[in-house]
Amino acid sequence: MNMKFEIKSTLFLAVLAFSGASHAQTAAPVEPPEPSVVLTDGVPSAVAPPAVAAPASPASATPVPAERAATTAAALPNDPPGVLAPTSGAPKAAPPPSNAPRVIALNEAPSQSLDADAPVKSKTPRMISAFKGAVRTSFDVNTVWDLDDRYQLFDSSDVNVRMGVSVGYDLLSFDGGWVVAPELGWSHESASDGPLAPQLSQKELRGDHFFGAFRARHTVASWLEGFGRLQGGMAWTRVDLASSGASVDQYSTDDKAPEFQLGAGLVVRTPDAERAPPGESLALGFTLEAGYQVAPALKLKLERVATEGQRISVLTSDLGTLSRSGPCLRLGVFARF
Amino acid sequence: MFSIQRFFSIPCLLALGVSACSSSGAKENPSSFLPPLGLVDHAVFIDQGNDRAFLLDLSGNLTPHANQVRLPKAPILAQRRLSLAPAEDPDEVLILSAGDLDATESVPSITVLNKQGVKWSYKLAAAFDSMVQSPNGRYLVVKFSQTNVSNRLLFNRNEVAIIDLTQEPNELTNPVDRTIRGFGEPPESIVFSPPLMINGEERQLAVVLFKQVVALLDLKYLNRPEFTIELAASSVGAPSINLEQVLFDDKENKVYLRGSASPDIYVIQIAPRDVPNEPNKNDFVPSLNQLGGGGQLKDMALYGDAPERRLLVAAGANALVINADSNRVTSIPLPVSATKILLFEGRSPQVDTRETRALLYSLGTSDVVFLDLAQIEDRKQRNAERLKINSYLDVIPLRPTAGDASAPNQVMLRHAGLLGASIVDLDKRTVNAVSSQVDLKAGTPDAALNGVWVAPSYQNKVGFIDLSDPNKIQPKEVRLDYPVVDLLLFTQAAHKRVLVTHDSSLGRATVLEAMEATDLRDLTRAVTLEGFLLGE
Repeated sequence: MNMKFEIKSTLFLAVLAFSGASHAQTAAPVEPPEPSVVLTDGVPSAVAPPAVAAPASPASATPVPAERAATTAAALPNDPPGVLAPTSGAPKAAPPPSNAPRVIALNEAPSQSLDADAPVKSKTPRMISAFKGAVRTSFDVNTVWDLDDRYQLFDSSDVNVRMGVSVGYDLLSFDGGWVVAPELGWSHESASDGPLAPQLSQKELRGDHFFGAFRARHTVASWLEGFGRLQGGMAWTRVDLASSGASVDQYSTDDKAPEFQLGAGLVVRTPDAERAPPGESLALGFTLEAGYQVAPALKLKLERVATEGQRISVLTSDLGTLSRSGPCLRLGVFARF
Repeated sequence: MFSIQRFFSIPCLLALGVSACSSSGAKENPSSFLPPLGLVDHAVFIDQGNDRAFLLDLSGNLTPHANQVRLPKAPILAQRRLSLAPAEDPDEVLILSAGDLDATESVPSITVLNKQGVKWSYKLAAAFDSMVQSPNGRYLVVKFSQTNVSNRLLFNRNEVAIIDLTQEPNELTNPVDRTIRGFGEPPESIVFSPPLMINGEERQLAVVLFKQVVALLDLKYLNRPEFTIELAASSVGAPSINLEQVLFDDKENKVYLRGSASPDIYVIQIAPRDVPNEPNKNDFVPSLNQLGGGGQLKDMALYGDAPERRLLVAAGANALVINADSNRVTSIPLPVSATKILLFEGRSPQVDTRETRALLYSLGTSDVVFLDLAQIEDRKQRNAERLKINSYLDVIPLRPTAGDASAPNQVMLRHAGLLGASIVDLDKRTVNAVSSQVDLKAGTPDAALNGVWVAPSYQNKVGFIDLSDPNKIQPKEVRLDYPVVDLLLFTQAAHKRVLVTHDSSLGRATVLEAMEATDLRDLTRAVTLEGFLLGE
């Protein structure tokens, strides 16, 4: 419990400190150089600039350097010709038709000139870029409410706090401001000495959770994003118990089980970080996600650690099952670059 | 201009909210268990610390799971409900709970527990700490013990609650609270009579013993006052009688009383009395007689049917035979002094007919005396036979299952000084010595298997002395994996088993198949159950 409080306090202080730093950045923003974007239409696709989600508000496009555009377009051979258009370094000859998509360099902010000529936005999001996004690393605190009374074996509260890290990559971008990012991560949980079963001198629950996730986020404002997230993974859980009294016996149980989380939340980050191209900018922020975890219940079986010298067969009781499903809240502090 | 700090405050508030929303469950107290009890095929473990009982089923396939039953607050005492015969066994446990002084809804109570769970719970008016059952298990008197140190501001040591265990709880009639009149002293003990025929009705009486006063309560009519009988006038400096033994003659409706400091036997005759239309008056009256025994009277026993009803009294160097009708006293000189009497039905080496005989003995000595009670008033000491054995500290009757006349008639005398025991064949008057590495104080007679289980505390061994064949007494033993704490017999059940508990906070016990008692070393059918006290 003390450890949990310290973790929460540390997180609280870290977030406050980060808040101050972000505020300072907001007060004096450093504008990254705006790359140029050129929109073309009706020309066979040969080269194209990197793409990101189109801004929700109309914005003008800026010409993009031909070399970079060609490189990006080569990585997207399947893009429909009507979506991405090569410029071949040619200057803009005519404004695009009203039904032409907007193509924006990944991690670039929209410019006024592009928006001025922006076509009518497509109703359905269309993928406009892939494999050219930002990398996101995060330190996460995932809190799962263990509403099962049996959890009181390990903790006096209902909450199970998992600390971990995750890394994500903005894999797919869609117009309309949507980005899909796969993630990989790990978290660790540890709880011990709850008020139930005081005849046990040791009650320890430890778990390692390895997961993959897909996060679909949408930029709401330059500093705010909303997202949905689907996570699946495996949990390695170990329970160690020991009796008390004159003879102390050790018991241990291991369990491997899949677990899934579905959640949605908000990202608050340093503003305008996406104006810079990948690798040239750094965004800091935090995520707040509420969701629900689904996982099979953990069987709490008393399995003797040592059985040497045992001549009579032993039937050990179990402590029932510990539900591992429940609502969860994930707090994360991340850096995206 | 937005304030980003406002947004950073969101997770911080949520993080704090997590702590606030997380609720703590009911805290469990450290467990503290009363000595375990056995129903016919269930073991009962009562956790005083957490007001619960665990019922471990030993009837069929063994599992290390015990059913948990909630009990009223603060269980302090538990007893197996008595019965006169296995066929009448109600298979219940009685649990006295002290309640919680600070919680108005948690009052002292008696809980009747069977293998299905709580059957009945009787609320009590006071925080009693002692209970006494009638031998047939029908009545229960709950009272204050002599050593009670109540945490209540006021309490009356003469207050008792009387429960008819065959009737459901009723706030007005069951239990009944009574205050026993005394002469300034609290009751010492309570003894129940067998059913007596009084005025054509079967009644049971409760005899409340003070130091030299007795009170008689009619348990059928608890609205009627009790009789209080002073056996000797209280005067300054006069020695107290120190009443310590009561016998009932259910044929003659007599009560015999003996005190450790009195040379006399006190006899109360219960005579009917006609009290028409007065339901609150007793319809019998006691009358007191006094029999001069002489010397220090140590023990007494009733035998014979009217008109041959006799009272046998152990009075040190003599045994007294008192004719219950004429009150004539015959003194029998004994070969050795005796202070205890054990009546038995059996044969003698000279007479091959079963009749009532007596074994007289004195703990701490190395002799016993057999008395053939037939014609003893004429034959006197010629009916006494002395048998010399090793010095002994305990005499454990090994009564075979009722009705089995062919079973050997034996007692076990636990040795003093020497470890081991002597098995005395009461019919043949022979002795078999069983040596042991341990004190056999832990011997537990097993009527069903006709033997004695020996489970010395904190040793890894359990032994069984099979006494079914007096010509072949071969002790068996088995070595367990853990030291013994308690031994419970379930040999009256269809599936005969023995449960040996071990020291473990989680609950650990080894179950031995008692049918295999002849070959205890076969451990393949033994099993250790572990973790059954962890609850659900």
